[in-house]
Amino acid sequence: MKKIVSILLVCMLALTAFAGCTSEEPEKVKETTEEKATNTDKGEEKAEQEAKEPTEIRFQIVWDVNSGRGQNIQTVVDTFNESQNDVTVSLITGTSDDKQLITSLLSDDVPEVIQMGVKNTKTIGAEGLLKELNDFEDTYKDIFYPELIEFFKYDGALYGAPWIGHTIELVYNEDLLKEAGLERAPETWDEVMEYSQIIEEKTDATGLGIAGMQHNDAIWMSTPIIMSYGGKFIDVVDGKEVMAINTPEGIKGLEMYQAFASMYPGAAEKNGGNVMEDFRNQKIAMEFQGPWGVTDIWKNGNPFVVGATLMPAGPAGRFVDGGPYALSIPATLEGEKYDAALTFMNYLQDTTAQEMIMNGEYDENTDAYYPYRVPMRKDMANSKYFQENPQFLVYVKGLEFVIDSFPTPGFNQVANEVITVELNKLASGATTPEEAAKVIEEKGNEILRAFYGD
Amino acid sequence: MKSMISKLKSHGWGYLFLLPALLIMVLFNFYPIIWSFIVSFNKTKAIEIKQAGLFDIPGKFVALDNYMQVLKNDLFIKSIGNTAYFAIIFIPLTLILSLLLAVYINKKFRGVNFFRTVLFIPYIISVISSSLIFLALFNSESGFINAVLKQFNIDGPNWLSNEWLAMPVIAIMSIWRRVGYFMLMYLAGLQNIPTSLYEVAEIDGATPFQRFRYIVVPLLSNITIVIFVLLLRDVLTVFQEVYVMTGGGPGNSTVTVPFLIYNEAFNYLRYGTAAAMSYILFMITVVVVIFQNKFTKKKHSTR
Repeated sequence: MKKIVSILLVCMLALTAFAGCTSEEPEKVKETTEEKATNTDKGEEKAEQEAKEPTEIRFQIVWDVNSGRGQNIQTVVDTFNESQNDVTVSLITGTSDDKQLITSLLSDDVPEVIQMGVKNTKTIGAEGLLKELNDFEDTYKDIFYPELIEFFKYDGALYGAPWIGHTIELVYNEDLLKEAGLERAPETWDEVMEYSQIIEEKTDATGLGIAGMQHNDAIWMSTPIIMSYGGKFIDVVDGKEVMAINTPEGIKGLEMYQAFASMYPGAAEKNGGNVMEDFRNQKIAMEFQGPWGVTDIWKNGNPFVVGATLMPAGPAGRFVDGGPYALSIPATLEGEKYDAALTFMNYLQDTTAQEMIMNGEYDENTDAYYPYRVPMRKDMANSKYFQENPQFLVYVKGLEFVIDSFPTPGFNQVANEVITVELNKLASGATTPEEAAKVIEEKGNEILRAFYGD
Repeated sequence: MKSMISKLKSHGWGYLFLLPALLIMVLFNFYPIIWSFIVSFNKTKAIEIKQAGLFDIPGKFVALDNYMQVLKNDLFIKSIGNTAYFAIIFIPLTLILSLLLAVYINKKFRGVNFFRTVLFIPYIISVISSSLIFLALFNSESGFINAVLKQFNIDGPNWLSNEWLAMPVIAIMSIWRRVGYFMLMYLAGLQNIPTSLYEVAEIDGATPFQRFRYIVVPLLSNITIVIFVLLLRDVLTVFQEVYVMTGGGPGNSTVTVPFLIYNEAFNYLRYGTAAAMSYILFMITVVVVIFQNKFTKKKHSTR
């Protein structure tokens, strides 16, 4: 038996030697020892890479992954997954609701990259639940408008990387303007007022639709007007947040808000959605909206020609409300997953991925694609989509004048409990700008003191 | 001690079976109650809650500061007033309507079961769905209510945008949802009243109203007390209706205490003051229950 085993082993060795001699290429035979060692290392590395599973991470967006928006983002994610083997991203449905985001971040099973709105990023970041991205601030400043970075900073720490978003501009019904004999869009608030009066006289519509309901919409619609008259709701004095609306400039801003609201029937009961509906139904000729304000008209069969122009300017300049979305990483994320999250975030901020967003969401009713947000990069003007659809450039241009209507976590409570109430009263004519400014200042400061425990 | 041990020996298996339920109760009821009580004396950040162990106390101790802040908060005082306004509309109307409907469907007539079912259905509809239905009904432009009013040449108001009307609309919706359930409770009580009592009263010449006043109302008083307590609980926890229908507006006129607690905890992330508000609400509830118990006992003893 031993003999048979020995013969078999010898035969196998001989076969192996033959095989080695016959199958080898001439160059390989001449390999030096050093080359052999290098090649062996490379081979091991390759084998290691092949053997190593890609790092799997999840990307939570604020929309449903099955929605048109979700599907658009899915194509971006798919392109990323196909472009490399190190990281695999799966897209998951999330929420813009800060309550749900906090609950998710407090749990141990949290997505690695999370899309966040402005308010959430600062509020949740201030609670210590998000990774600080301060090291990347300079890089982001090269790509994005510096003002935009400030949106995601609180107390010196950066909690989000800019991605996509919107600015709010003046969207107008070109047909109604022409019917009223107006050849171009208004550029100042005085012109908006003048246009509104002409439109009301010469057409069945009214001029500017503005929200006055006790709702967030009233804040972002009023803040650009107030700031363009030199007023502001909140300021930081000696490192402390204080209310700053009760000034002649602030009161003038509130006056203008009230004047516009008084020209729009039922303004006190309207929110942003109602205003949009009235614009679509040609009850009003102008509104403040993001890119969706334009595509909403397209989606509904183009009942009129819609245009978008920069937010009108006031004596103190032009101010545009912005709603950028950040990409954030949970504070607890470490190691491979953290690196993978950064790699993916870099990809999303790249021009290719940014432009893919402009392809927009698919609408099955019209069998077409509609943009819903714009890229946040400042160098997108020459990209293909904007060359073909320059009407959307105004939403990127607006980033130059962008303001954050909900600038601090403490402001959120003041906005909810005091400012929206007073704006509602202004819209219904139940109070005067002077009285509103006084109440906002007094009650707002009380809330801020309590909020920060001063 | 001996008797306790002997009890344990004789009922050991029983206690063992109770143990899982008891543990769940402790974990999900008693532990959060105690934990939130401790938090009400602390200033706490979300990350401190995440990092805290099961028996750790997150945040910084601030003694009664959170309670003081809550009591100084104008909106908290307003929310108590709003809740009381809701209660004044909601409790008496629900009690009266439930009782009247119970008396009505206690009679034998064709289709009575259909009516009972129809009246009970709102109770099984979720609050969110009910709220959305009422939002549509009371819409100032396209709502059914204003359309009906228009038939009588009345311009309906903006129900949910009016400071005084918004809360009654929420109360009407809450009544609509609950009335069928409490009607069934009253119906069970009504069916336990001996028919001989009505017959005797009828012989004595009592009118239907007198029979209702002197037989039905007193004999259902125990059920009324139970329903009152349940309604009180509903008043003190009214949240979803407000959240969906008005978001607390207009002019904070529909902000209730639970709504404010929710905002404080989840919108402004101030867990300490939110917990303090909860315990103040708890104390108010205790006071109300003590008064209600005293009132009920007095009423029973004078009978």
